[in-house]
Amino acid sequence: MTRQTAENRSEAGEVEESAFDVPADSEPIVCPYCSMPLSTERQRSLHIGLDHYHESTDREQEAFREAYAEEEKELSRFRIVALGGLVALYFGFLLVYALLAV
Amino acid sequence: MRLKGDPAKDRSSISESGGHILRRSAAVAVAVAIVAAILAFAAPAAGHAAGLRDAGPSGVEVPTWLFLTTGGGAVGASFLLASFVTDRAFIRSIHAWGTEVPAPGRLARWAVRTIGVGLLAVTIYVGFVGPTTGYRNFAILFVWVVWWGGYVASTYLIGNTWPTLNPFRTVAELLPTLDVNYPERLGSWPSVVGLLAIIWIEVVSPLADDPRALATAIAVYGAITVGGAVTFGTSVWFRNADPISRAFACFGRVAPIERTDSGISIRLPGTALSEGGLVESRADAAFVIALLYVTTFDGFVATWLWRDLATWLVGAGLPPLFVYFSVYLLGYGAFLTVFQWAIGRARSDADTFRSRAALLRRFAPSFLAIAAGYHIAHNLVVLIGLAPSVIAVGAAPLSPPQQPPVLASVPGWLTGVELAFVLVGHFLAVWVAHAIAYELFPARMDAIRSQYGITLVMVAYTVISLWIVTTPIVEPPFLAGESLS
Ligand SMILES: [Zn+2]
Repeated sequence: MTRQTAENRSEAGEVEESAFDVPADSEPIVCPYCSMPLSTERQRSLHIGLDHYHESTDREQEAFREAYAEEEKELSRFRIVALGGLVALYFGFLLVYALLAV
Repeated sequence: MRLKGDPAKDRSSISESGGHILRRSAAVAVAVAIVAAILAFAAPAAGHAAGLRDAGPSGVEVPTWLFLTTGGGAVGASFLLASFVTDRAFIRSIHAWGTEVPAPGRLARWAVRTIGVGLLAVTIYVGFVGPTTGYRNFAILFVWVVWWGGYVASTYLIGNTWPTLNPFRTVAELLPTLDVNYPERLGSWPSVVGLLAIIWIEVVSPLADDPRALATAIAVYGAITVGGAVTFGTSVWFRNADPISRAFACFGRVAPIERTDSGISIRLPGTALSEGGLVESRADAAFVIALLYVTTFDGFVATWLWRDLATWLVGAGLPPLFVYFSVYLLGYGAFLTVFQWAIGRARSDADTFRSRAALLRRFAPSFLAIAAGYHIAHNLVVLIGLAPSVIAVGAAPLSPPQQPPVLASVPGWLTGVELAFVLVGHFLAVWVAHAIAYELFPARMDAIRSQYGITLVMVAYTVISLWIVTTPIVEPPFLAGESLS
């Protein structure tokens, strides 16, 4: 039920059988440079910018910059949540240890 | 070569401003500070748990549940901290840092090989003809304290020297090879079966105290190993079938020093784990998981929980060995299932078309840092406590003292050091998995999301393993024989 794609090689350059697994009923977005299957337009823009920047077109570079900036916003939101998690963990433990020390 | 090499790539392309870099440095500084703070909390907890284990000194005793939660919390926190590092170029530069020096000459290699073969011969000889008491026999002390406790630690702390030292390999290379074609479909599954078999025998047999049994086991292992290497060729055999070489190759990836084709490469500890190549098949991944599992099982059978469970099952009429064996295999099955689940989560959370098999191949090595941490936790105290015995018995293997000296009291902080290594192993694993995710997934948020399941598994594994390490050791039931320590 799966089809193989061209980018099936490991760092060693050997061809692996199953680097990607694309279900037959899905419609992946395929990278025009290396045929890597990707799930979203944003993934494709980022992938092209990261892996094929020098060969990519001006439009693709523009799309990469936009996707990167958008990603930055999402990351900022995540950082706030993560910081909250760290603070909660830290003071949670602080509280429990303090209670036990009494 | 994707995502590697040119560290300036995403910065040049996105023109990151100075402010960006500043923010990154600030994030790293905050991260370091928080890790230090958590360690400051975890360390006294660890010390107290050590006190609990030795029924020892005063101070506020931290209850077990809190100690375990702190360990799990520290691993969870390290995931959150790692997620602050989102600069691909920075991550890559850490993993690419290193240098290369020329390899030692042939003469040095042959000296090491000769030492390896000599030590093997002495071990087997003394095992067969030396004293029958385990703690007075050089073979027992050498294999379990020096080799298993000390040498194995050197494979992940310094570098894997086994390909050169391995006496079985030296012997096999001196013999003519039959060059029989190795059955391709077996892959490296024989090493998985071999590892499970060796640890199984180690747990249920008196190999840790009976010098004759140990010498016999080494001779049998040697015959199989040399026989296999001569039949299929040394490189094929030691790459696919020999569990010990495989285990050291895995541990060697954690080490800062690695032998490469062109010389000796020096890197930051653990950073080589993020590269592909070590785990190339499903069987290789199963081997890494087995390596993690056997340490856990080995410790688990010496806990009260297992004593009660086994007593109950045997009381219900099941044969003791059957109970041990079925739980052994079921436990391994459970580990495999949990890893499969974590990889499945990573695949859906990261919204990727990369196959489960490919993700397992890439992420499995990160767990080796954890396995190394637990190896130290299990062996450091024994190694130091019995070091005087090794020296006294090694000086006169055939007429050792009646009561070889041991270190009467190992300093309590050593347990703290052991637990610090456990945590460092976990932090390293979290970081390596983070770096791998950044290599695999184009979107950074996807890379972070891919770690949810893996982090959860690491937290659970920490809690279970810390419990095993700090819970009082009891004699595994229904197995005759006393343990060395
Ligand atoms: Zn591409």
